[in-house]
Amino acid sequence: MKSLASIPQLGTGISYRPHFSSKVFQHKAEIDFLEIVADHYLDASPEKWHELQVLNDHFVLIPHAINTSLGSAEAPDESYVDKLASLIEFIQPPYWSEHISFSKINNIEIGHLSPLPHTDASIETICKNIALVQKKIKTPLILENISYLVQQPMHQMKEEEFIRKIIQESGCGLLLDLTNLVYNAANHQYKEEDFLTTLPLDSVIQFHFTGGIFKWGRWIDNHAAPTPPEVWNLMQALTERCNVRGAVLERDDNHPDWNILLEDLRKASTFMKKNNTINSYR
Amino acid sequence: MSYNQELHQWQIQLAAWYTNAALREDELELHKHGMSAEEVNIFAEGLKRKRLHQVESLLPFSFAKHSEYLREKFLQYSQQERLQGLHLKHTRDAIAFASWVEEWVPADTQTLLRWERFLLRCSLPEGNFYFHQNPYRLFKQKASDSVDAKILRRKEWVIGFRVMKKKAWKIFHIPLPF
Repeated sequence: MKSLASIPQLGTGISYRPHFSSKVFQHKAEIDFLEIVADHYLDASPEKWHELQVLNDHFVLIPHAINTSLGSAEAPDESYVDKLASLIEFIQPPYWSEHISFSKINNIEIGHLSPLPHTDASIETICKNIALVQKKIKTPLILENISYLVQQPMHQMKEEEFIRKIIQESGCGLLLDLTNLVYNAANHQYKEEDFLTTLPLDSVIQFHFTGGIFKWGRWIDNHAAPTPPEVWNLMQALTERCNVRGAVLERDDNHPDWNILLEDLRKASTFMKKNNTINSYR
Repeated sequence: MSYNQELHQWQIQLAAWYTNAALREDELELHKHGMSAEEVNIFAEGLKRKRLHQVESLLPFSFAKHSEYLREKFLQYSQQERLQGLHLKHTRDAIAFASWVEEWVPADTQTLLRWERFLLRCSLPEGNFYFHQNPYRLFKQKASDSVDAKILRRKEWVIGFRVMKKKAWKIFHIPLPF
């Protein structure tokens, strides 16, 4: 397996959705790479497969999986992992990503990423499943922190400590979703700065940024609003402390003029270039 | 491979609360487990909305025609039927919902639902052949066709097939002479 250190500097990219494919090609020069939802291509029709081939010919693609359910206290679905392995083999990305969560158990499909209790048992479980998946997928894996609304009673440690242990014990990289972090901090009353100091920042390979909405008295990360100032501030703090290889803007809906999105990419790129001291992979 | 049974049981309990409205009504049970009923209900509501959004986008003509009613029916449907499977789960959800709701909608919406369900079936990895009958021609009018009521009222058979799983679906429309 390749090491995290071998991952090249990718720059700034966008989370790809088919409904804006023409825009992505139109602004190709300003988009360094694309993050694709791996699940959209696992049972791909010939047309979808063709779309993937075209994207892969023109962009560096990073597969972002959403249904491996690494945190489930059961083995990952074998056929799902096989399909994911084939996709990653075809794309040959520098790394792929999944979430620190569970989305199914005992044949109950929840339909969304659900938080794990911050316990030693959860850490052992997710590391066990990562090891199983890595038997079939040799490409480096990075793990994303999720946003969550439900607090669970049996936490044995804080979330940042939980993530740090998973990263250290699994050897995976970290995909830090800055918006999830800011919204979790607001919803569950903690300081994102404290969170950042506990994380193993040298393992942060990529970050996500976007905006969401305030609904039902909570901040919800719906990928459909401009990036809020708190996220930009956190991005600055993060890039001052570590060499992140890639930044991805996740904007699925409610698109403004594309020049505004591209301006966001340029702003993130400026943070990364200004603060990164290691640029040997470029 | 063995997994922590306590965590396994807890995840089953959480998944049941997230996906089963009747279980969430017992707030005392939630509190007994140290859970906030408000938080669980908000999360569950978000799950339903996400599921609805996916199904809406997969049945666009039907929802455009009868939006409010279908949304209301979907929320009712989602209380009874859980998401199934891992692969293309939302496509399967939309197909199942179209079948579930068709008896309650007017004939024109029913025609659209059945047509969109047919197209969705032709996007699944399993199956190589589907047959569908439209009560009138739906989307295959050419610009050069005169808008003749007789033509529009003609039934048609639609056949979707592919020679192999990895080949593209071919869809043929066969107008019937009556």
